[in-house]
Amino acid sequence: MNSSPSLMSVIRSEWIKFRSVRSTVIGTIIMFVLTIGLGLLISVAVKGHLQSMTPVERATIDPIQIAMGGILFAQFAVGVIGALVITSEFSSTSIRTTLAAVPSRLRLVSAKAIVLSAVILVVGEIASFIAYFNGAAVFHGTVAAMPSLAQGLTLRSVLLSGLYLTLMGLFGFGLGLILRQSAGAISTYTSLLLIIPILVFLLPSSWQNSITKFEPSVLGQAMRSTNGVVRGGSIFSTWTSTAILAGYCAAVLSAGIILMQRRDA
Amino acid sequence: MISVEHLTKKFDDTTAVDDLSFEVKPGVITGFLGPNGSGKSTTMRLILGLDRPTKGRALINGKPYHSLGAPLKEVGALLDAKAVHPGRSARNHLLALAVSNNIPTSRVDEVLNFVGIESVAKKRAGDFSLGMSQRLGIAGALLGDPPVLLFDEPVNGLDPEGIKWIREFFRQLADEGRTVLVSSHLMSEMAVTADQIIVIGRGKFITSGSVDDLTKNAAGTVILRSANNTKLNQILLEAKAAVSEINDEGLRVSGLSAAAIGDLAFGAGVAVHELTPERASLEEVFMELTQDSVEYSQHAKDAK
Repeated sequence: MNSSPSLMSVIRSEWIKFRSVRSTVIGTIIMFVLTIGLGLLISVAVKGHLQSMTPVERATIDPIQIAMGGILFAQFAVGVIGALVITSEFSSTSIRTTLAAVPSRLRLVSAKAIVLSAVILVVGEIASFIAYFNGAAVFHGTVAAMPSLAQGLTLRSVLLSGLYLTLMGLFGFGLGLILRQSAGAISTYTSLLLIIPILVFLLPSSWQNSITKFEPSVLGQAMRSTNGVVRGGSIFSTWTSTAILAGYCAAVLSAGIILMQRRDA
Repeated sequence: MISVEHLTKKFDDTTAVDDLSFEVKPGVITGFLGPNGSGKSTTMRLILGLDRPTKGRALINGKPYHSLGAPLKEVGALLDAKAVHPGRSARNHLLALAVSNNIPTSRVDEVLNFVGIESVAKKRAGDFSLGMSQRLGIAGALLGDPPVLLFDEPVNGLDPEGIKWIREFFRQLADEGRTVLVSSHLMSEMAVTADQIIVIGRGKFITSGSVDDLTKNAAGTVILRSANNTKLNQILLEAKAAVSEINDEGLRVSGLSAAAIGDLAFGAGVAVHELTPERASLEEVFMELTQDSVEYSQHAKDAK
């Protein structure tokens, strides 16, 4: 009778919840389609302009960044999925039913984070590999030919693309935990990705260089970079960027969990 | 068994639950009564560990809610029938709940059948009527076959047939030896549903007891019609009775028995046309008990 609801039971329960609601399922499909579809579109567009590029542009072109261009759009989808996983529970007040079944808030949040990460990681990696192969096919035989996956840096770039989406999903989830409202969490997430770069753009250029590299999407580009060059400024190394982004996630998730423990449901 | 000990919950500037202590025993239906905004829902949320008490504690069979191994197997609760993700089907909603507490998934179909919503189990819960949502909530409460059950205003939104069904259902649960706590702001509903009643107002304990106990102790009134109400009024007031005029023809007298009033009228030579003792209804007892504690202010809404 007294079989405690283990983390595994709560994970299974959260998995049922994740796949039984239209918004999270459609969000996951959108992320998949954007990563692949826009990656292909951007690759084709860039290929058409290869001839008109200056020699310097052509020398610094990173075909992987271009093939993974869809991620710049898919990152909005994962943020929305991440936020909705928790904010939909608050907006429908189903969080009360959920917490009556799973009183440990830490366990509940962990289970949700694990299910969310697992789904985005798997779907994100599949989409990233497909985007890579699409890009390789598009750039085949051009000056910007795609390096093969046998090269460590190339494989790393593709793998970290899926990880980037996963971390951004967790970031959205953390914002959702803190703000508890879908609209608030999603607009905060979007603002951080879109508005901050615009604000930074208004700053003196010496400041821009030191701030831009901390922006999530720039960190993502640095994670995918194989040559350490990102158009428009300096970036951190791949692993430093990964660590900084993971740090952002850890910060919002910890704040969210602390608030969740303290607040009334 | 539910034990509430000195439970207190303060929100910013209001005290929703104020040093509340009571016990809810198994085998009977206990009604939890109070005007709207008196702290019934907050108390239930505190019992379920959803809100954190400012002081005091609530125990389920001697244990705080947080320390229950598989809570759904020990406590079933229906607080808000609409506390379901609107986009999820009834069946998936119950399935996720069952899986989280290691309840066999076959139990989901059992409870769906029991509450009679198996035909709409695959529909989105957001499209349910309030009555159907109540039934889904009851299904959720029954999933783990728990010995303790809490229902917050369960009659809301049910049609007469549903109300009859739910009363019989509560009776059955109590007869099986379960602890059943049912809240309501309607005394008349509790009078026919509950065995024991706990009355609160403004978050404070007011009284508790059986329905009979509560009405027995309340003073009854007598309706009096006579040939000369004015004269009798005077005499009754001299006899220290409280008198109020119903209309031109009748008086409502409290503080004296019908026999005593008849004797006084006879002594005064006034012909009596009607002398009807009225037993205080539970509704009146409730109004009397809670009249000081009804919150008319905006705070009542805030506290809810």
